[in-house]
Amino acid sequence: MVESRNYGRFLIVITEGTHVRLSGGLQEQIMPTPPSHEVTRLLQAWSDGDETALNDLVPLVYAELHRLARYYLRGENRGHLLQTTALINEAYLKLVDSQPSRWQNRSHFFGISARLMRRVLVDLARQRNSQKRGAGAHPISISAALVVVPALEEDFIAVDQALEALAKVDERKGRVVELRFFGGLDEKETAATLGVSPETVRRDWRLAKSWLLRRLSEGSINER
Amino acid sequence: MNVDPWKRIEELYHASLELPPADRPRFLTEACAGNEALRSEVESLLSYDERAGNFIETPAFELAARQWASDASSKRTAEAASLSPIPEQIGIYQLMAPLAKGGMGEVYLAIDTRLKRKVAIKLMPVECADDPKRGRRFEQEACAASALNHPNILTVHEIGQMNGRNYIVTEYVEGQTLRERLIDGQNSRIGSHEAVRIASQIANALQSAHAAGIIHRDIKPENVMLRPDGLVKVLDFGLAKISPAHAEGELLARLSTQKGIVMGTAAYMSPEQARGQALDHRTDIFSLGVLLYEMLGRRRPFEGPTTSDVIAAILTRDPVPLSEMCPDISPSLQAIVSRCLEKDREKRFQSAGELRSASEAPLPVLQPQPTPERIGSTRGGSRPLIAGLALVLFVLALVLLSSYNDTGDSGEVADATHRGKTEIESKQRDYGPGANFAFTVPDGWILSWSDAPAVSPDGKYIVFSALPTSAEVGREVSLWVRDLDSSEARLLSGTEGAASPFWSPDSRFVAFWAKGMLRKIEISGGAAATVCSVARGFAGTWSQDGVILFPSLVALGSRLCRVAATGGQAVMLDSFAEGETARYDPRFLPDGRHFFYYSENRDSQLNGLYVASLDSGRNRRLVLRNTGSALYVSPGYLLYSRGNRLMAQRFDLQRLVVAGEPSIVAQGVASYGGGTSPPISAFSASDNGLLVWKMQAGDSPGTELTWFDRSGRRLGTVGGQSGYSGPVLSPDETRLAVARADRGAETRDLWVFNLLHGAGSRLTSDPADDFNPVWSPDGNSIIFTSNRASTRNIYRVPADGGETQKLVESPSDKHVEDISPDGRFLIFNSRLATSNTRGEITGHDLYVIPLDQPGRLIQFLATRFREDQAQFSPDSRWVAYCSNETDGPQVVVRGIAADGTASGDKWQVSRNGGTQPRWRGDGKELFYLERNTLMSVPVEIEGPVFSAGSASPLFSADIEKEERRNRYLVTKDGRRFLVIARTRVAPDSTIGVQLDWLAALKQ
Repeated sequence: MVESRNYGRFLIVITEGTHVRLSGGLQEQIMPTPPSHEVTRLLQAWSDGDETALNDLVPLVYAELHRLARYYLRGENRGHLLQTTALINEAYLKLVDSQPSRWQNRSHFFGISARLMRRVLVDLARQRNSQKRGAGAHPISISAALVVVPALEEDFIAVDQALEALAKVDERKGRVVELRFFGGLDEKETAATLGVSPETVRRDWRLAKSWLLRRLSEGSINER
Repeated sequence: MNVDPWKRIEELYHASLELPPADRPRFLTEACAGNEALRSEVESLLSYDERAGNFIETPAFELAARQWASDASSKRTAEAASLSPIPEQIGIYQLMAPLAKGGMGEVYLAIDTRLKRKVAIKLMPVECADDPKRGRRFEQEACAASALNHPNILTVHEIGQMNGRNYIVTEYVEGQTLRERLIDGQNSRIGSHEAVRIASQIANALQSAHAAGIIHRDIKPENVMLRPDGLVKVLDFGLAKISPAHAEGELLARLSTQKGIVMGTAAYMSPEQARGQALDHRTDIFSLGVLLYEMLGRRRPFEGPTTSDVIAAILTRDPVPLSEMCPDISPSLQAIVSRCLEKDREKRFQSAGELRSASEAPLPVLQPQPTPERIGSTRGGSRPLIAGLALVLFVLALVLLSSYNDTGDSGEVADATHRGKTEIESKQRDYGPGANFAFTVPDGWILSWSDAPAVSPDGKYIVFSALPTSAEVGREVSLWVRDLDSSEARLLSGTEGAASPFWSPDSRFVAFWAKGMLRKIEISGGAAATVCSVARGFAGTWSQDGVILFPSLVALGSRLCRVAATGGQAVMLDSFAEGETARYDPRFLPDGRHFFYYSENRDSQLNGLYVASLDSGRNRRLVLRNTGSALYVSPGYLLYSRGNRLMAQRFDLQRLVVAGEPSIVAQGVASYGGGTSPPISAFSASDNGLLVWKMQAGDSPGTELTWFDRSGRRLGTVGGQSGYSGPVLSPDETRLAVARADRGAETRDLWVFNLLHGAGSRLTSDPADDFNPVWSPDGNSIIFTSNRASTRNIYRVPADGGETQKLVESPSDKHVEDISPDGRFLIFNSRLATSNTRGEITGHDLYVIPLDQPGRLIQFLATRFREDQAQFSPDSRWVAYCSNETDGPQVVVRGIAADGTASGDKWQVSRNGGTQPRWRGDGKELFYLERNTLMSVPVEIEGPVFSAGSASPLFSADIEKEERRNRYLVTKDGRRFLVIARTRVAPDSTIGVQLDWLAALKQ
C-alpha cells in the first residue's frame, strides 16, 4: 500500500506554490510539464503491478488538478463560461503528453488512467479529511456553513466504497462508472474502452447511477 | 435455466423506463407475477432514477479541482472582495475569462467577435479615468506604445474607454510569464543559456521602443511573457507612466505606505526611479540587469523585508557577486550584469557612440571571451540610444551558444536529419516489414507494456517480460526466455515482478528490475541475485568491463546511474546538462566508456539521442534528433527508431557521428508514448545480425468473420479485422452483407463482400448507424435498420449500390429481423405498442409488413414477454424466434398464417437457454446458440405439426458478444458457419525476428 506521507510531501509543495502566488499578488504558477517518457513508463510500471509507481504518478496528477483548480480560482463567478469537459480532456492529454490515438492500446490506457484517478482522488480525499480534522480550529462563517451542503458524490471515499459494492453485483457497471466518473470519459469513449455499444453504456450508466445514489443516500444501514 | 435475478431487475428497470410513469406500476405488477421482492427492488431503483439528475455526471477530477479551488479561495476572500464587477462585452469583444489581476488593472481573455480571434483586454483601474487630464495622457501614451511594432513587443490592437474605464486590447499570448518561469526554476533552474536568450529578446524589445522614444519604466518578470516556442514578448510598454501607482514623484511615498503590495515592482526599480527623479531609457537597462541577475542567481540583487529596505538596498548596496551563487557563470556575463546594475546611470551601457564602437570592434562574436571592458572601452556620444545593449547581449548569446555546442556538431546533425527524412520518404516503399518469422507469447500472457524483447548478444536467446492476462494468485509479471533453437518459451523462475530485462555482454546473465531492486539471473539456471537497490529503474546496459548503467527516477526526471555488475552501491553518473530534464535508454558503445542515451530537455528541440562517456556524462553530443531509442551494432551501424520504423545508418565510432543515409530495416515496430518526445520503441539486436522487436498490435481486440465447419475447424476469414455485426448471405450464397465499424468509426456502415474472390466494398456511408442487413429474395436489394432519422427505421438499398429509400418510418425503434423466402413478409422487432389486445403491457414484439404493402403493419406476436431474433423457415410457413417467456431466453417456433399473424401452437426448441435460431436450407435442421456453443436440432414438419428432436452441440467458438443478435450465419447446406469471432491474436503478444538484418539491408 501507498503511504500517505508521500502524498503529504507533494501536497506541501503545491500548497507552497499557492501561497507564493497569492501572497505575491502574482500571476499563477504553472507547474512543470512532466516529461512524457516518464508518464508512459510509470503508467506501464503501475499497470504491470508495481504499486510504488503510484507514488511517482501522484505529483503529476496533482499538478494537473492544481492547474484545473486555478481555472476555477480565476473564473470566480464566471465558471459557467468554462467548457469543463474540454478542460478535463486537456488535462488528460497533458498528463500523458500525447494524443490518445498514439497509444498502442487505447482502452488499456484509459482503463489505467481511470484507475489511477480513482486511487489518487480517493487518497487525496482521505488526506483532505484528516487535515480538516487536524485543523478543527478553522472557523466556518455562517454564510459558508449555510451554503456548503456537500453533494453526495463529492465524498469520494464513500463513492469509492459504493462503487466497489456495485462492481460485486455487476462488474461492467462498476467499470462504466469508474471510466466515466473517475476517468472523465464520455459515453462513446467508455463504450470504445469496454468494447460495448454506446447504448449499452447509456443503459449501464443510468442503472448504475440509481443504484449508487440509493447506496449513498441510505448509507450502509440498509445494506442487504 | 434460472435467470440471474440481477439481470431480471435490470431488464424490468429499463423496460419500465420506456413506459410513461403512470403505466409502470401495472407493468411491474404483471411482469413480476407475485415476486414482491423483485418488484420492490425495481421500484426502489426507479425512484432513485427520478432523483439522480446530475449525480456523478461531473467527473470526479473536476469536482476535486473545485474543492481545491474553494479551499484556496476561502484563503483569499479579502482579495476576491476587491474584484470590481466587469462587463460581459466591451465593444466587439466578448469577455471570456479573467487572466490576471495586477496593480495595473485586470486582464481578461476575450474574443474579438469580428475577427474571431482571441485577444487580451486590460481594464485600467477606475481611478485612471477619474481625472480628465490623466485620461488624455493615457490616450497619448497608449497610442504611442501601440505604434511599436516589434516581434518582442506585445502588439496593441486597440485602446478605448467604456463606462469611465480605459481599456487596452492586445494580442493574446499563450505561455508563462517570466515570474512563473522563475518559480518553476525552483525545480529546474534557468541556465545561463536560457537567461541570455530571454534577456537578449527583452533587450531587442527595449532597443526598438527606446528608438521610438518610449521608455518602459516597469520591466519586471510579470511583464515578460515566454511563449512555448521560445519567443519572448514584453508587455505594457508606456503604461507605467500613466498608471497612478507610478506617477513620478508620488512613487516613493506610495511605496513606503503600501508595504508589500508593490513589493515586486520595487525590487526592479532603478535608483533614479526610487528617488523619484526624471527617468530616461537607462532605467530600463537597470531593471533588465535585475532580471538577468535574478534569472542567473535565483535571487534578487536587492532584497529586504520591507519595501523601504529594498529601496535602501537599491540606493546604497552593491549586490552579492553572481559568481557566489553560480560559480560556473562566465566572467563576461557577470560583467555585463554588473554594468547594467551600476547605480550611476552614466556608468551603465548607454550611448550610441559607445555601442557603435562596440559593434565595430573586431567582431567580438568570434572571440572566445569578449570582455565588456573592451566592448565599452570607448566613451562616445550621449544620444539616448542603446541599440548596442541588445547587440551586446546577442553577441554574448552567440558566444554562449557556440560554447554550449562545442562538443557537438549541431549543424551537421540537423543537416543529416533533414536529409535522412527525405531519404526515409523516398525509400519507404522499397522495404517490407522484414520479419523472417514471428512468434506469440504463451497463451494467457501478453508482453508487458513498453518493455522491449531483449535478444542476447550471441543471438541465442530472446528474453521478454510478460504479464498474465488473468489475475490468478501467484501469477505476476515475469521474464520468459525463448531459446531460438526451440519452439517454446519458458518461464524464468525467480523473476516474479520483473520488468525491463537486458543482457550481460557474455550472454550469460539477464539483468532486470523487480520490486525496487536491480537483479541478475544466470540464463542457464540458478537463483536471481541482487545487484543494487534503487527505488525505480528502467532498462539499462551492461559493459564488457562489468559496469551497469541504468536510468533511475529521481524526483521528476530520470537520471543515469552506474553500478558494478558484481553488486554494490549505485552512483548517479553526473548531473544534467543545461536545460536537461530526463535521461533514458543508455546503451554502451563497444569501448565500454561511451554510451548513447535519450535526453529530454526543457527545450524540446534539443530532445534526441546523445552520446556521452562515463568519464564525463555532462559533456554530451547530440547524435540524432527525433529518436527515442537507439543502439550501436557492429560493424559500424546505428539502429534507431522513427515512429514505427527501424532505421539503420552508418555510425563513425571515432568521430561519434552518423554518416551516410539511413535505411529502413523493419516496420511495424511497437512504440509507446509520443507527444513532444519521440515514442519509446521496443526492439533489440544481437552482435551477429539478429533483430528482434515487439510487433505493433491493433488498438483493441477486433473481430474477424471466421468460417468454421460443423466440427469447429477454422476454415478461414472474410474481410479482415474490424467491428462486425449481422452477417447475411445473399440467396445465391455468393455475396455477404454485413454491418461494419472500422477502427475509430462510431457508427456502422453496410459492406458487401464477394465471396468468390474476397473483395469487399462499402455499400452505405451515411454517418448514421446502418445495421441488420437482410437480402431481398431476388438478391437485388438489401433491407436494413438505420437511425438516420434519429429513430431506428427500415430502409432499402440496391445491393450493387445506389440510392437508399426508406421503407418504414415511425417514431418507435424498429429492428429488421428477416424476409420470408417467398418474398411476402418482412419481420422486425419493436416496441410499437405498450399493450396488446388483452391489455397486457408488452416487451419487444414481432411485427410483420407485407412487402407489397409496406404501409400495412401486422402484429405477429405481442405478449408481455420479449420476442425477437425471428427467422423464417425456408418454406416461409414457420418462424423461429427467441422468447423469454420461461426463465431466460429460449428458441421457440410458431406458424405464420397467410395474414401474417401467428398461428397454431408454439414449440420450444431449446432446453437450456437458446438464442439466434437459424434454419438449414431444407428446413430439416435448426441451429441456435447456447451461450457460445453452436447447437443443432433435427426438426420435422408435417402439415401443421412441428416437432423437434433433442439438441446436440456442434462446437464452441470465441464469439464476440454472443448474447446479442446476429452473431453468425449458416450456409444453406448447414455445413459451414460464418461467425463473428474475436481476433485470435491478442494485442501486444507477437515478437518479430529478423535473422540477418544486415544482409537484408544490402539487398
